[in-house]
Amino acid sequence: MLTIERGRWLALAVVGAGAVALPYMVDSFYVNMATQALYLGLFALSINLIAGYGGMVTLGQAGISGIAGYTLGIAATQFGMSLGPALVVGFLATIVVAVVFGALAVRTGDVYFLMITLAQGMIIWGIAQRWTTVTGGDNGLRGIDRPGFALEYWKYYYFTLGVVAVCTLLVTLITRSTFGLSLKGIRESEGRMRPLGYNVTLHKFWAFTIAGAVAAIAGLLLAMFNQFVSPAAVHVKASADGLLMSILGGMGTIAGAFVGSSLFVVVTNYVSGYFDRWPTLLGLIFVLTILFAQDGIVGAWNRLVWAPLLRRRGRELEAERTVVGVGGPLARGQPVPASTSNVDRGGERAPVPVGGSPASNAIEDKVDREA
Amino acid sequence: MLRIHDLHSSYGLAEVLSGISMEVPDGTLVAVMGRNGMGKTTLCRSIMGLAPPVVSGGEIECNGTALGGLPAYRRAQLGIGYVPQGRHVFTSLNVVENLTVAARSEENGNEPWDLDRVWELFPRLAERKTHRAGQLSGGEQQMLAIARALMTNPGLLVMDEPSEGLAPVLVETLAERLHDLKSSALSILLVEQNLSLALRLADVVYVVENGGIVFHGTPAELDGSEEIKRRHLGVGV
Repeated sequence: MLTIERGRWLALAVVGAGAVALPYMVDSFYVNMATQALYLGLFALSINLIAGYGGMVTLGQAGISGIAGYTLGIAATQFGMSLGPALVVGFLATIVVAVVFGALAVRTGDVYFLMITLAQGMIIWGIAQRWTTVTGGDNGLRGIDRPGFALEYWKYYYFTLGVVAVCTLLVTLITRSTFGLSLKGIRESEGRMRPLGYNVTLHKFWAFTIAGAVAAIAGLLLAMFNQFVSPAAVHVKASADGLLMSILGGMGTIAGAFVGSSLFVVVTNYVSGYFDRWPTLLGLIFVLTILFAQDGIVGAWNRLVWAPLLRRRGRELEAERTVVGVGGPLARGQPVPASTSNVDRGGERAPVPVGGSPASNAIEDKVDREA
Repeated sequence: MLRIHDLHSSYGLAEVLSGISMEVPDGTLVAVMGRNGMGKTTLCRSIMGLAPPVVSGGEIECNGTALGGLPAYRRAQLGIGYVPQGRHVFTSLNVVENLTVAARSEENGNEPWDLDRVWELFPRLAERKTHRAGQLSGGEQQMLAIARALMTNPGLLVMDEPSEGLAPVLVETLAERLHDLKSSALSILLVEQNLSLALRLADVVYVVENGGIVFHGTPAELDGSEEIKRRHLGVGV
């Protein structure tokens, strides 16, 4: 029997099988598009972790992600490090920057957080643009290698797929842990989390740092894919693109980041070949999403398809329970006895038994529910 | 358990609490009563360290530890559970998540709280485990707010008008649950407007008027004093 839970696993298996089979089905152009969708999806996921789960909307994530790419590029080209150590240095440098930026940013919230992260991203961009002796300025840095075992396009695709799958699994585990739950609580209300014993600022800081680590991986994958980094990769537009993907796909969902990045890559790489006004199309999709599905594509799917299925399934389960006589409030939906209604209409104060009859129980419950 | 001495608290220039002193002995239920705007919620927020208000003077001590200047999360870690006025559950999380997010093990000699113990106390919540808190009725949300505070394994529970907005029959259920809690060695500070609820449950009652204590005694003494009830609680007018 196909239950909903099994259906979910089946869908994941189909997507996984499709991703593995992709290079056997299409040519390099599409495989490279898929590679981009993967590392951009991971980048969007890092934004989603702090914006969608933690409620902190950032416009500086590309700056953090770009630190990884630039450090890798500088270590490889200026210091002649081999790829392995250069990757480690790139990753660690990004963590250090995320820790510093996080410590500054998490003390604020809402629009102030947005402005501080925007400024932080622009600082990185400014350094990339102006410190030409180290960063190559506008020309960027060339000569970043791919791993020896993943030189060809399809091998690099599999490499990216593997890395992204592992990272996504880790992020999924984090979001389902108590820490992930505490982030959702913080998103809903910081003020409610503090009296429960949560050091909210510290939790936000950890979320920012973890998101920085995820963005670092995405930045390294991007740099090795292009074998090149340039200021465009750390520009605020790159941050905004990531945020856009995250919102399009669905904030606060794992799949949303990849749905959003896939749509973004298809429009920018494929549709743009046939249609000059593709930025307008992208804008239109974004506007329609905000107007009709603020919870994004995955959110709308959950709301319109998944939740009704679950509800129907839930009703079936409840019906089963009621048949065997467990649960289900007494007398719900029974006609209201006349005597009780008289009291409600403010007639003579007829003595009502303290504690209420089952029928009045149901009424009070209903009144309370509507309140 | 809790000792408050000469507490002053204000919002901006307006002083709301002007010299409150009170005590919650171990394992007792102390009720604080008073009409709207007399400073009851301000008292709760001051104990919890939530801003606003600003505490401008006086001392609050929990189990001998001075709370002055400690942030709210530290006070919670010291064993104060808080049930805010208006419930304020996490509406986007389901019942289990609301409880899990609050769960913290604390060695305080009391029997520790876990999900099973919560289901035992509030069977209604067990039936609604996977429902989002936003979908619960007001009564259920109140139960959840109390259960969430219990999951932090507090030694002292500060409750701000738990009966507010509840239908009489649910207030009755609430009273029974509070009675259960009271017999479990938990100390409770109950801020209430519902006189009969407070009279039934409390060991000691304080009445607040304009930021000061105007009455302090047993429920029987309060019940016997028509003057206090009429003037400060607006009963029987």
